[in-house]
Amino acid sequence: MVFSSIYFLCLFLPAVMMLYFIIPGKFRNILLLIASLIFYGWGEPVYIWLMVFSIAVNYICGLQIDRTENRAKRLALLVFCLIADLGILGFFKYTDFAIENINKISGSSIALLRLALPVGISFYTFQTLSYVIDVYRGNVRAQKNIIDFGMYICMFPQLIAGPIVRYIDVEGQLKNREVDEDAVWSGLVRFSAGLFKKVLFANQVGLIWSEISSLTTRPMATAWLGAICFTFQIYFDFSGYSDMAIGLGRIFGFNFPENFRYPYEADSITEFWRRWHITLSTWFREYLYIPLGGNRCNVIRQILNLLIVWALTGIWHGAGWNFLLWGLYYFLLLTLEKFVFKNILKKTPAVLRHVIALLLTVFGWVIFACDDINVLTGYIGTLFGSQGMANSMSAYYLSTNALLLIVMALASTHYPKALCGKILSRLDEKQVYLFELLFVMGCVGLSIVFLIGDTYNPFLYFRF
Amino acid sequence: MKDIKFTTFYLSMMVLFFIGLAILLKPASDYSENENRTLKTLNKYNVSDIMEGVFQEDLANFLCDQFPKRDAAMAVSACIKTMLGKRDMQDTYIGENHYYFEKVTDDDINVENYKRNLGRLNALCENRDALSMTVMLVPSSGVILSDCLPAFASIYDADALYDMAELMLEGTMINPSEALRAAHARGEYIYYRTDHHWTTYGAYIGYTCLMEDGAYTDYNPTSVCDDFLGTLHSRVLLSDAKCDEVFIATEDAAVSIDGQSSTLYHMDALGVKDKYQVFLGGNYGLVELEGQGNGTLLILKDSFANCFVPYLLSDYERIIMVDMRFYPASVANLIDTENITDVLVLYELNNFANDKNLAKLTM
Repeated sequence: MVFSSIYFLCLFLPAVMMLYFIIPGKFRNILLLIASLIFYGWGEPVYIWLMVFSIAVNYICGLQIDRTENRAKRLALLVFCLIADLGILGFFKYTDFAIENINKISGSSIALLRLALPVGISFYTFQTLSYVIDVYRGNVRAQKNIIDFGMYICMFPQLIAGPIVRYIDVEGQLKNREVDEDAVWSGLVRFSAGLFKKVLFANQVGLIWSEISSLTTRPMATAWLGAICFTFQIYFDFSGYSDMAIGLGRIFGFNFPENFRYPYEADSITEFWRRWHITLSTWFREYLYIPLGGNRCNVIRQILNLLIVWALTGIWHGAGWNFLLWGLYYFLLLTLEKFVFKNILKKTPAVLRHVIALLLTVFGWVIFACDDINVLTGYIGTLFGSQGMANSMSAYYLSTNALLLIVMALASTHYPKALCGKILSRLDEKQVYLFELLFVMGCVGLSIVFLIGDTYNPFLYFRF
Repeated sequence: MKDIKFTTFYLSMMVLFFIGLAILLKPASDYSENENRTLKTLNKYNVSDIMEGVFQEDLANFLCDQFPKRDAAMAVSACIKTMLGKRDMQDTYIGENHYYFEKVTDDDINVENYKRNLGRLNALCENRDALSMTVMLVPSSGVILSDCLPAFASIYDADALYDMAELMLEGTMINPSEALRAAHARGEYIYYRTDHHWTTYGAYIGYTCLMEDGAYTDYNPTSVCDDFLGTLHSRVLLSDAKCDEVFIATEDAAVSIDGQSSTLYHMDALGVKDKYQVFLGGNYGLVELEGQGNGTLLILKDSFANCFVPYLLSDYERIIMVDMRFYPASVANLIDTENITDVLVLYELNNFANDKNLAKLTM
């Protein structure tokens, strides 16, 4: 199930919300668990068993690690659990990719599994890992209540697209949550904003990207415009989803960590990754980079650590060479920034630094977006003018989308929020409420209108 | 204040849920006239439908298709998009002077298929020395009315396609572009604003290109309706569309459609959404018409021929129209059994280029 759909907005979400607040507090976690399992299994109900299995394995391992004093036994349990979690992730996400490449190299023709990817598996696997690792490290006690634990693993607000909530961050909230009316309201406001970003920005600009990326003749100007469109699409899609997740979490009484902090305002790649998908970077830092030795070792080892982290970050995003390439691209940029250009960048004017960072990011998204290597090399060629500089349609795409792009450029900075904050600080409580009410109604109303409008699908085959 | 906020929240959830329930419970409508397609309705489902996700997918489509005031939602979103500067939606350009155009760029033209189709026409003439074939491909409205396209918008290169046909075709090729351009320059109404077809007058221009001294000379049209919103309008549903006027310019006549007797004009079509169906009532595999002239003419056609064929009734005794999309039998057989000597191929240019049904000509 996805948030930006009519059945979620008009059936699932309101039904869960209405029930959640009228049932006694002790049943709320059960409700959330059941709702989340339905949400998870909506497309592929059979995978509910997979989720139940994952919950059971991690629950038992966590408890056993917590109970055992023997260090070797604890380690064995941890390793067992990691293999189980990563094995499931690897099996569902990477088997076909591996088979394809084995077939290509050896000329064999092993049949692909063609399994549907269980929704959110990359996200919730990282959540379960954070749990067992932190239990192993003794940072947190094991969860004894399997319902609370199961709810944490598959909670529908952040199941599909994060943020990756570490167990240690929400442990206390699993049991003791009060209904806070202000939080419920601000959660609704946050959710509405996220929905708006997803439906009115990401989906619309996505149409332009898909049109431009499928052109057979694509001059340089059009190619860059397309890449910029994808840059906005992925940001508003992803951060919109995070906003919706954080908003829903807040309504249920959770405090999820922020996932984005205006990444396109970054003036270096290092800074970009402090602002983009923060919970993923945090996860990799906590559970991989630092255990590997982080930057407390010699330069060669540091670079090796970065290489491992970024190769895995790349491949985490998808089973394809382009994702690995995308990860390595950032490894290269970050390494250069850290060890070669550090001092030069310090002397570079801020505007120029910003422009460079943006250009590199936009280029990176092209690698990310083209999951076929031939398509990718073709697209990169057009970025450098392999099919000419510009044509009439370049001007057409630019002129008909300029306003949308400007609006999105502004919306991806901190200014709109700062401006709203300024306005709201001058209003009294009641006026703020009215302002927010209009905002919610506008965002949700327009989103539904656009969701319906985009399914409007004239049947064009018969041209009567 | 806290209570008010929470109550608002709870009420808004109830409103959303009410909308969802209302869609589920209200009687489902099963056809969308604007979109010319059936809408999703729900069947009976069992457990295995749920396990395979069939029910879930149907429910998703059902809720979207049956959402109240769907067309209005579409119109609002289209209106907002145009305010933001967007000038094309659903492959339709929103042009100047309330004109809509099909967005067909060079990328959308299948040149290989075009060449194959031209080759198929040549093959049909092979070994039939008595057969004289004329090919008239009509440029899309955007080609002729290029001054009304949105700024910088481009349309496919029709001239290149005509040059290619000139080079390849063994029969006669008629290119009505110049005459149509001249008529447009005079301010004539040759293409509908909200539909991709040419108007009755546009077709008349085409007729004068085809027949240098045709029997039909006295162009004297009658307006039959002035509230036509065509298929291009259906794609965008913008509220500032300007309705088109439909004319007919000849007497009605008896025709036979797929063996059933019918009429040239279908006035009852003026009561439905697609008023272009006033001409012959739509597209059919085989239409036979009795005229006042001499000889038999076979027309291989798309819908552009529907408002064109009336003029030819003055010139031929008998006209057979075949629409390859709906004609299952062999055209070659038809030519041989009916002793046909004249063939006219009449298509919209881009439709001809991308049409896959001409492959059936080799049957």
